[in-house]
Amino acid sequence: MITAKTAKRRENKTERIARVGKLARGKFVAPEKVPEVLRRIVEPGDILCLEGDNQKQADFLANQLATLGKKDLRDIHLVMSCITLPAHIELFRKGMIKQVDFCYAGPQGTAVADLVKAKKFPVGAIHTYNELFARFYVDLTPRVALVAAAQADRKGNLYLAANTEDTPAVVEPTAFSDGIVFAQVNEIVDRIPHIDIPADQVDFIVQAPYPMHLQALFTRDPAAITEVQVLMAMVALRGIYEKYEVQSLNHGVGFNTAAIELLLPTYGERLGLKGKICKHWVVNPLPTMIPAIETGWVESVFAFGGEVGMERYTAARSDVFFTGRDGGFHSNRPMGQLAGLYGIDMFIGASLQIDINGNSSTVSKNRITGYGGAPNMGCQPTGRRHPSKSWLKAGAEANPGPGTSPGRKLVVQMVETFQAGRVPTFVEELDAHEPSIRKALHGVTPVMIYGDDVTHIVTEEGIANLAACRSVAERQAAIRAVAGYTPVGLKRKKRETEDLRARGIVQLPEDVGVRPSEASRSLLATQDIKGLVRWSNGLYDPPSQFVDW
Amino acid sequence: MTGAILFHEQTARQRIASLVDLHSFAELLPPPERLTSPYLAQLGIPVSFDDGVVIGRARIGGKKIYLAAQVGQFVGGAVGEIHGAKLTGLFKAAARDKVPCVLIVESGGVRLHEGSSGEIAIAETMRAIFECRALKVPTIAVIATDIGAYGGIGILSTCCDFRVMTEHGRLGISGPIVIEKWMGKKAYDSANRALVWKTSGGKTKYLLGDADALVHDTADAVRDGISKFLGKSSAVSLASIKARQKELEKRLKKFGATSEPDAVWKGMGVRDIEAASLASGPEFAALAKRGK
Repeated sequence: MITAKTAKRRENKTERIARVGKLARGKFVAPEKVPEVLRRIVEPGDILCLEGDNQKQADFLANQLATLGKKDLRDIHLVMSCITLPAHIELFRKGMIKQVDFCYAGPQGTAVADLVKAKKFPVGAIHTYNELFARFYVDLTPRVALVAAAQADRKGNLYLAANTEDTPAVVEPTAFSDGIVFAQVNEIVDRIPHIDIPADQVDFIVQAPYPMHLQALFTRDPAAITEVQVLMAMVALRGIYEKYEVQSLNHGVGFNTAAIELLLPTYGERLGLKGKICKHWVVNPLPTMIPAIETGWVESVFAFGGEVGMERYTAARSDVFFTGRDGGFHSNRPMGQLAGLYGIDMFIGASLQIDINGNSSTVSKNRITGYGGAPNMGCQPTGRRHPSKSWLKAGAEANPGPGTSPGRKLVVQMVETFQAGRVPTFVEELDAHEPSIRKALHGVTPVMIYGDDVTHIVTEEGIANLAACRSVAERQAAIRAVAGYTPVGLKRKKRETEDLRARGIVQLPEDVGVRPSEASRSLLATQDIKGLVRWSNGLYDPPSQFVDW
Repeated sequence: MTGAILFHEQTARQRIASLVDLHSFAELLPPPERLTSPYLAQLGIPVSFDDGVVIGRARIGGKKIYLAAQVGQFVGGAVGEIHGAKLTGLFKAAARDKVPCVLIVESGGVRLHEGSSGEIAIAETMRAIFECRALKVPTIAVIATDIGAYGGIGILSTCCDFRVMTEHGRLGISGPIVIEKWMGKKAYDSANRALVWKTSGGKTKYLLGDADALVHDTADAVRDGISKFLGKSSAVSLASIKARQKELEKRLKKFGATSEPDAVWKGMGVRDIEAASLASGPEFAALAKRGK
């Protein structure tokens, strides 16, 4: 064994574990002892990672942590991907947190905005996923990590099941820097299906009294897809997918892209695009992809996380999905994000607000949601060197000058001109510029995707090819041209729009061969969740809130 | 696996157009006549020029019918004075002319803004339906959407000779939220969609004999379902009512204590619950030995 000259960090870990003493039997802690164990292993000033992923949550450990008060634990530097649970918010209300670095706060966006207003939310920064994971290895290495796994064996090896998500990215930097890894598991068994985290990286394990919280985030009921969304999907298929021959891609989680997935086996087939586009996907196992998979469109899918109800289907389609030897679904958020950054031709997703320069944001004055992974995928990675047909074609349109990359990733924003409640999507200035938000974020305006990175905006009015614009003024005119009846859209000038249309920078549905009257829900491969179950030959088990049979 | 718009997603006018023989529909009291609810106008609520129901003459397979389709998008298809009067008149005309009458139902019952006149109108329409039945003029209700047939329209639907349903259709008197409010969430969880459809959905109603045909969710299937009943009628006699009453008593004894909808399905002859849950229309009917 190599002995370090200074091993203060290791000694400190030994002290912490010694303090736990008989509260644990080996690595195993009884549920009722968890609060006291947490009090003894966490020290003031610690960087503490509480695993809260996009989908799975170390909710039992979070709830136990929230039973403690400021006198037990204080000055915590909290690092976590997603602020999701009421227990997370509780830690701030109790004043236990001195700084937080995170990525996303979707479900608690309103609570976070309230905490910011009350000055009880000391943000270091809001990150994208891979930024935060990167910093785990640089200056935000956790001293203690509280994580969630599906199963542990008696030695302490962990099995993560379909939702691997962030766990390896949290455990590795912690375990290899003398930090403490504490895992909650759904069950302790003699033999786990496969080892995701080896036992020697795990210090404590508790079998939680209830299974970890797992959010079904990516289930989109085809019944809720509107005909406007079908129209936009048709326009995108012809004007972008077909035009650039997009081979590899990421889809957002909205209904717009769900419509595209359900059009592939029908409209896409009719256009003769099968085998020509959409072969390799970096997405979660979206139930709405089942018809495209069943009709042979999809060659591979790599995922950031799992999706509730897709376990049996993905096991049966291990030729498409990544699975363990046991057939169990495998996901990995940092690797998925990396794949989405460098490996794909196109990112396409929706947004709540887009300004006249093409910057987008999901922040409003009363809701701070953060970023998640969209900016990693919705950006131009200047480190990319490998070409693809789509990358070169989009690059040529963008007319790169000397000293820039010859290619471009397609970064597509697909939005209706109005959100629910007739709130315009297109605005002159983003709500994200709100001074109190910028101040809390140390001067950074929380922009999801920068206009410079966006290549196309698709609305029900048509397509604006921002990459082909030659000036800021031209880009603004192109955005106004597809912004419909929003105040931004009403400022468009007919002559400018016609000029852009003549140059192919703005394309209306008819310019890409789509007749709006054709846009019908009957084009979707299925109109409801039950249809997806049928397409899966009964292998998809939708969550109960989607079942009406 | 794609084709026409599903029946339950169509509007009332689309449903009519896709059901009847080409160009055979002649609307009575059409929107240009602007018969609107005086009560909604007084309350400052938007009105509709058809008051939420489209009525007229048409042909199906060459046979003359009277036809009404309720508009679920307009105050949930609820029945007010004008809406109700249009229905009453249509069934009276059917009795007078001895022409079968079909009602495409999509209504939660009486419109609360004009409750009394709505109630009276529904009662008068039921009387007109029984006039038809006494004359052996077929009356058929089609229930094919999740708005379904509830309240007074639930009762009215069961007064017709026959009911054609799809798995999306729901039939009852009190709606799920009302039941939950009165009985408690423990007794009936209205958010449990599977429970709601297994108690009031088309399949269960077919098993229990409240629906006479269970068809696929397409206009073609609904049209076929209607056609089969156009030449028939079911007599209302003391004997038939007594027989039905006996049947209901027997069923109450058998299922009165059960809280598990699957047990009712099993008791009504469904062997493979999972397969039956996924099946629709005739496939479901084939899996269930109704009434055994």
